[in-house]
Amino acid sequence: VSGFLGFDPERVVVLRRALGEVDDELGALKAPDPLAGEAVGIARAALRRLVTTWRPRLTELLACDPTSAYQPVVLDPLDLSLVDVVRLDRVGWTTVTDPLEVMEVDPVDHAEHLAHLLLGLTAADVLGNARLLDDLTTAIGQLTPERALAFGAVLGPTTWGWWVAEAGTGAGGAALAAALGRAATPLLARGPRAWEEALLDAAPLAGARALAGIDLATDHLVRLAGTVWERSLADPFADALAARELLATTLARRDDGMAALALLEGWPDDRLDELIGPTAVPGPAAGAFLVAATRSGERDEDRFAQLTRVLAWLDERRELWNGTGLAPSLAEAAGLRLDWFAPEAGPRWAGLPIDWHGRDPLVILDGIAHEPAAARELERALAIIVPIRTRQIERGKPELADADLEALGRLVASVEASIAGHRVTVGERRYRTWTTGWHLAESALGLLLPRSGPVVPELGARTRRLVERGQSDLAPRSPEAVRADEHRRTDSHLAVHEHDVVQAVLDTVTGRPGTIVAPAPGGLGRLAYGELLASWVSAPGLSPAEAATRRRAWERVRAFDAAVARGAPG
Amino acid sequence: MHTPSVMAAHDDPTELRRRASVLRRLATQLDGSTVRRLPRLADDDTWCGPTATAFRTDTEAAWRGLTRAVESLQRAAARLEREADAAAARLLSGTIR
Repeated sequence: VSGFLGFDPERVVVLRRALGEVDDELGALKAPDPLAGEAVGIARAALRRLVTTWRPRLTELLACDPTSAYQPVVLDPLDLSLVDVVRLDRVGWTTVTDPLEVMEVDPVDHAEHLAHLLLGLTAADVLGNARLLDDLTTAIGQLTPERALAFGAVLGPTTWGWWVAEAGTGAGGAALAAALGRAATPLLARGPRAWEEALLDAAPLAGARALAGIDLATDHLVRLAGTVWERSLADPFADALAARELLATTLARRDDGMAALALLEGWPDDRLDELIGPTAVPGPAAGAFLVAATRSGERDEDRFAQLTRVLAWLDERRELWNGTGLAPSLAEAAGLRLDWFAPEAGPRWAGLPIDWHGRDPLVILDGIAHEPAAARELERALAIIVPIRTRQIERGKPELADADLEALGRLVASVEASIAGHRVTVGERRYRTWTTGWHLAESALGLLLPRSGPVVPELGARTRRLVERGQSDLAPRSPEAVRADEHRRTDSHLAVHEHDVVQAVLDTVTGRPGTIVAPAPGGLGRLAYGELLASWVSAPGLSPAEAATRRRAWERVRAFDAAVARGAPG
Repeated sequence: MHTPSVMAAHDDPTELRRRASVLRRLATQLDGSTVRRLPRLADDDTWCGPTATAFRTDTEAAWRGLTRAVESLQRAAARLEREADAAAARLLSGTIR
């Protein structure tokens, strides 16, 4: 609102003439009957005030009198603060100072004025004027649904779609496209096809940018996003990849991942490449999308089913595990599930779910229990484990008594039976039930036997013994289960060994053993350890002696890996 | 004895209906006032700014005043018409002699 007045002189002349007619009516107004007296009095007062106040004021406005309070003024038509005064779509308007007190413009009228402004502007006017672009983006983005309806009613779907297309593909216009999308939300929600068609007619990137601001119900949003995604697949331009990247991250942010889940669920198996493959969308965006779709939350079983489905897809595309950003994201998703399953374990689990060495990721991830039944089983396990742990502490020794080991073995068997009964895993591999039991047992063991300190060397053997006892009364295990067991056992050795190496290296470097403590195994995961060592070994500026020390440490790890590959770890 | 030619005005159905008709004509006239056209003549296509807003506010006030006057006239006319109907009924039943 400003202290200016914009007007069409010809129309104001007509208005003044109309006031003259009102004045004539006032002069002719008589009470023809005693019963009309009060009514005529009311009417006369109403008309008189209008005429006496406004006829002279309009005369003054039109007079161009230098003493008038209405003085001509030149205003910048691209100044958004004047949108309620200047109408760019009107030719021949005059602008003057306005002596009257500034009054608040009805917000709905203001929304209409914004639309009128857009009707009178070109894309170059807006995209080439940073201040106007920012102001417009802010003003349109803040429209309430009621005002957005008024805005849209003036603008119309065709012009709206044109602006989405222009802003959505123009430099710096992404935020304006999103604001336009947000403003169109109530119109799209009402269902007129014209608005959807205007959105879908825009280039995929423009549509994606508008969708980033559109706040529709999840199903509706996903339907539109899916259509834009499909169109982007047929779009030959480079923008299409950016469109899908934006759609993926937009859906990942919406409704606690439910939007991403909905799109993933509805996407055909044989076309997953077009949704999450490296040519469809950059890895980090695919990862964000998949993490949102599969992390624990509402519809947890459906999310877990999708996680398993994606992992099965990835299982056939091992090359995607490295360098695309998918694997770390999925590791995060799986890690989140483990945290849900055993929150007390914390980030210790985060590096464990993914096998980084080309082995079957399903071996690990099939074992993620995700139902309350599994949590109950863990509680039951703790009821057995805690007394054992207490006795350990009282004895001051980490070793387990035979009775304790037998109790734990029975626990594993019982957990497995319970898991089979509750169907707490999702997956199709035959060994999944067994691996789930393994995880439960391992989580229990993790509490019982920290993987560091003096008990570390015994862990592998104790785990093996525990598992063998625990499953002694089970049906024969499948070859896949045997393989999974081997993988897990090997990983335990590797993690422990690498931890020792890192610690030894740190001790050597500092010359003060223990002053820098290496992260616990599992805290970083095997790949992280590998990367840590690799970067540590190849760090620039090392003295020859230091470089040699580091090289030797690295060679120890490689030698160990080779031994593992030959089947003789440790 | 009274005859129609010497009836008091408030007992004369014809006179009462004539007065009602005058009031209704006035109501129609006021309802068709130029004031009713002012909102369209002074809309956003004509002007924008504090003066325009103030004019609209005053026009709305005049519009409401006019509406009150019109309704007042219509109520008065209706009252006269009811009185005319009652007077006519009395005539028919011979109440007035």
